[in-house]
Amino acid sequence: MDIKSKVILIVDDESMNRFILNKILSANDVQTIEACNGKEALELLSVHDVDIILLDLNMPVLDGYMFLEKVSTDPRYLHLSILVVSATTRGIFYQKLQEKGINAPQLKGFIEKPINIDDLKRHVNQY
Amino acid sequence: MNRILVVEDESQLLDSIIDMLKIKQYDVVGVENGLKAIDISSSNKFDLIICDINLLDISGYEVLKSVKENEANVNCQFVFLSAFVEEDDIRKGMNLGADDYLTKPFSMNVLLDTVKSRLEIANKKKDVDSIVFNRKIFQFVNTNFSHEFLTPLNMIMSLSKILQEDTDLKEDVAQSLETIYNSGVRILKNIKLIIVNAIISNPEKHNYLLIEKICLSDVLNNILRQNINSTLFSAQITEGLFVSSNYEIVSFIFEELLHNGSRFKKPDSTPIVILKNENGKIIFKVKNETITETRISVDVIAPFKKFQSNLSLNGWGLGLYTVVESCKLLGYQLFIDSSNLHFEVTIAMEDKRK
Repeated sequence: MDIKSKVILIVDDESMNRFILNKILSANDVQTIEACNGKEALELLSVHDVDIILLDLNMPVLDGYMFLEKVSTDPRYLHLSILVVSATTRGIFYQKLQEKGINAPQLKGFIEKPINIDDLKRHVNQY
Repeated sequence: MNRILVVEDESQLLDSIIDMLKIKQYDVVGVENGLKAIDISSSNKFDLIICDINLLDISGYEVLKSVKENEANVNCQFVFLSAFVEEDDIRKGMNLGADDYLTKPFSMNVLLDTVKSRLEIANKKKDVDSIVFNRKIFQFVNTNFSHEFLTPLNMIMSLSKILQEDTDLKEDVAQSLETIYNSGVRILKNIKLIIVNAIISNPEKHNYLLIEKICLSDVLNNILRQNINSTLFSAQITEGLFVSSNYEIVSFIFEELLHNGSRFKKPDSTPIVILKNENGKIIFKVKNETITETRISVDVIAPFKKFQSNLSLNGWGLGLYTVVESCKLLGYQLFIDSSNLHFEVTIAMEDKRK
């Protein structure tokens, strides 16, 4: 599948992490935009037509969980595909989601850090 | 000689337990309240503690918690005495790490049988104890730990991979990048080992294990594709086998055994990996030929014990131990067949239910 012309929003507070994700995806000629936290991401969402979000969890201001909670109930953002990219273990992530009662239908998967580059590309290609 | 601590506030019962154990040549210390028990167990080492739940000052649970916090008593067996068969009491005690319980009144024969069997277990664990297996370190391992290591490791591994994609690289630079990446892989493997140990050595966490449907062939194929040279193995994989289990631990078990199979194999031999359904159970099997003869059985596996010491290979000697403990945790049967120059590990997996 071709992922050209898709807009990917990278949400991560560490600039090097955003740089790495950008680098990995740049070979696929996708358009990327970047946000440092969940609040910035929400602002960008309101002005950009985004297809995929790569979302970090531990961020200041508005973290990944709170971001998921906000978009999960917003009818404007139901078309999004969200991939969580985090150094947290998968089990802890899903457990916390459950504890917080977050059920985001846009959530399509969990990619663990260190990122496996082929794995990330495969995920992104699906949406 | 084995040392036993008895904690009981009914002085008659305390005396008779002490007498009985002394007759049987055990080294026994008796105290009549919980605070004394905590005090004496913090500075003394015991193989077994027999403790009443309903003490006058503090509860037996507090004593148990304190004992478990003391590194010296990490292998100490703990038996509760309870006046009533209170399901909740017993469950609470077991959840906190108690090993057994006796309901009052009990006969001295029952007591002696319990003491005997508990001490057998304690003595078995002493081998492990002598290697100073520091559970406490693992208990510190939590999400912050993994985050603090995995985030910088993400930089190292991703950037070295990205830079490698440049086709104009000089050969020595390309080699250096490959070395940086592979070093990252090695650190990552050890971090995963610590994380899995942190989970399995902390019984309080077991209830929080995420149990979900896992496609085992996907997990196995991923590991073969990403971490291990898949052409190295002769793989017989039945696709579409699902099991309810914990993803992190299952993928750790697979990865570890595949690494073992490739690391200790005889040069020019082809190790075999099998995933199949057999009589309602899912069988995962790794077999290979080894360079030297290793006689390993499940009961001699201990942390930091290396079986290939003559080969002076790197590593912690935690891999097989962690696999064994992981299987226990998930209720999987594990068989090791190491005869002559043949090494074969088989795991029979069933759905893990909460």
